[in-house]
Amino acid sequence: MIKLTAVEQTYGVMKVLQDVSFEAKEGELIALVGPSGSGKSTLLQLLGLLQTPSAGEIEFDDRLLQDTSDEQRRRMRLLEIGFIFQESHLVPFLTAAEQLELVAEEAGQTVDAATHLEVFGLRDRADHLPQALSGGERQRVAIARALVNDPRLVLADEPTASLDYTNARQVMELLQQQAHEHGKTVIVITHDERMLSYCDRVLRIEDGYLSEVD
Amino acid sequence: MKMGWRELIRMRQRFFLMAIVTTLIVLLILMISGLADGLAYDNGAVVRNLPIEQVALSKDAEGQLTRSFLDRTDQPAATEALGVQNMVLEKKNGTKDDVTVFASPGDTRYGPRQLAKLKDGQVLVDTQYAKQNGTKVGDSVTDFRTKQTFEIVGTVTDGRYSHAPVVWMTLSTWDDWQQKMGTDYVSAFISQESIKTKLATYTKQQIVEQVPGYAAEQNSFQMMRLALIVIGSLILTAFFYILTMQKMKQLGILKAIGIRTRTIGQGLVLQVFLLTVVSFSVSLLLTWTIGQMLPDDLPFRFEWTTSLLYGGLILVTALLGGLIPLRALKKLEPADAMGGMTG
Repeated sequence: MIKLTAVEQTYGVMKVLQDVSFEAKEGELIALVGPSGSGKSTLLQLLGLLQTPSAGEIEFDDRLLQDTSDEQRRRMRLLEIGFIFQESHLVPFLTAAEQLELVAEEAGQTVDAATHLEVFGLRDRADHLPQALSGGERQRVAIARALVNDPRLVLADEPTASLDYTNARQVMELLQQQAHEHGKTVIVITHDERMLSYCDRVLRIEDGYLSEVD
Repeated sequence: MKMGWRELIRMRQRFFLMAIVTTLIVLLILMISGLADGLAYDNGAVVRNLPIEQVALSKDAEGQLTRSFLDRTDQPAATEALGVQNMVLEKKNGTKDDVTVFASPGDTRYGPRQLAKLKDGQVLVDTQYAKQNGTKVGDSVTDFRTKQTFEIVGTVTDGRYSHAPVVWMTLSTWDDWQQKMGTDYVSAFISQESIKTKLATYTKQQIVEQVPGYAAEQNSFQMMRLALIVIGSLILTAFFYILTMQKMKQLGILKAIGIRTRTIGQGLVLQVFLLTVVSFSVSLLLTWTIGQMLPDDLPFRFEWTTSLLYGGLILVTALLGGLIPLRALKKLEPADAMGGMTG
């Protein structure tokens, strides 16, 4: 689904990623772990087409990303990639339903936001602004927003970091469901070792080098 | 657009302060405009109210009525003679006022109709002047220079020239007065049509613009108005720039998830547009209300066309100012705005 070959990312003289190669397949839930500053976020931004690598290749369904334009990458982010952030990063003045509608309408689609939110147990929260939602609810809205255009790749940056254990488990179960039942590729950065049990593979990144944890 | 509208409605407290400041700035611009227009009108009101198109003056008068001295024998066909001269008017109580005398034939086509009823030595004075100075119909006033006495028999509205009250008299009274000063002239020949003459001819507007002090006064006001428009636009731009900068992370997230800059930008433009239009409408209403409450002797004039013109100008400059945060938005790299996603 997405394949990295000898990817390097350099900022000035600092090499953040070195010789990173791996492939993520459809239906896989992959955890990305490593200490702070190890290059996890950079890797996630490369996977999310928010940066271009200094060297190496990234293939998305046999499309070489270096050959795509900014507009093509924006459309891919809108239609084929779902982003989930550590803090939900919802638009503060849009209701839960409108968060989903914004993304769907941008893709030229109409969405029954209430029904979509029901899947995440949020139907009765459809008309609520983010400030009126709990942390767990906000994160579930963010996941619903990330999935509204039915992306094939979901990238989650510490989606459980600001949640209590119960909510964190719910979020991981949702992501696991998306990978195993809907065939999406899900890559999750996490510092919480308890969440690793939900993942099919664990990749460790340290000093810019990537390795698979058995 | 929808996003911009929803932000405006749901984050209204944030925009409220901006709306108040914008309203006050626009109010200031409209009040200054009202005063400028009022003074401009007051400066040449008597000329503006004459139903004429063209004025012939002596060539060396440089467009000023009080500097023109013409021989009646030079009067072109289909014109009417007009006398204009400054006078120091002495009232019974000994106080003196500077006034401008306007004189037309008794059977004038352009001057006040009441002139037809005036006898020699009788004059009409500006209504406002009569009200302010306690001068009333039936009073006598004296020319300080010639000591000739005139009887006030009526009033005329908007009788102002170069901010001085106007005293209307017939050319017959004018001639009598001039004779006492040893002169015999008229100041202008006026007509509703174009005048065929070797004298210098001017349009009514040109004559108004040549009223002493008019250009200097209006230029000062024009500078004030322009400065206020620029300041107002800068403040609006600064507000929207700060507002956009505060939201950079949020906007970066939106760009990261694939929302177009255009979608976000349209919302910003809508906000600038609505905020300016609403602030302008409130200011317009306030200016009109204040205008109604101001005392009559304050030269304030509310004109819809001028006000709407300035409104349009403020809107255009505000929208142009809005392009600066739009530019910042366009250049925004989602990855930079988001910072390290974690590390």
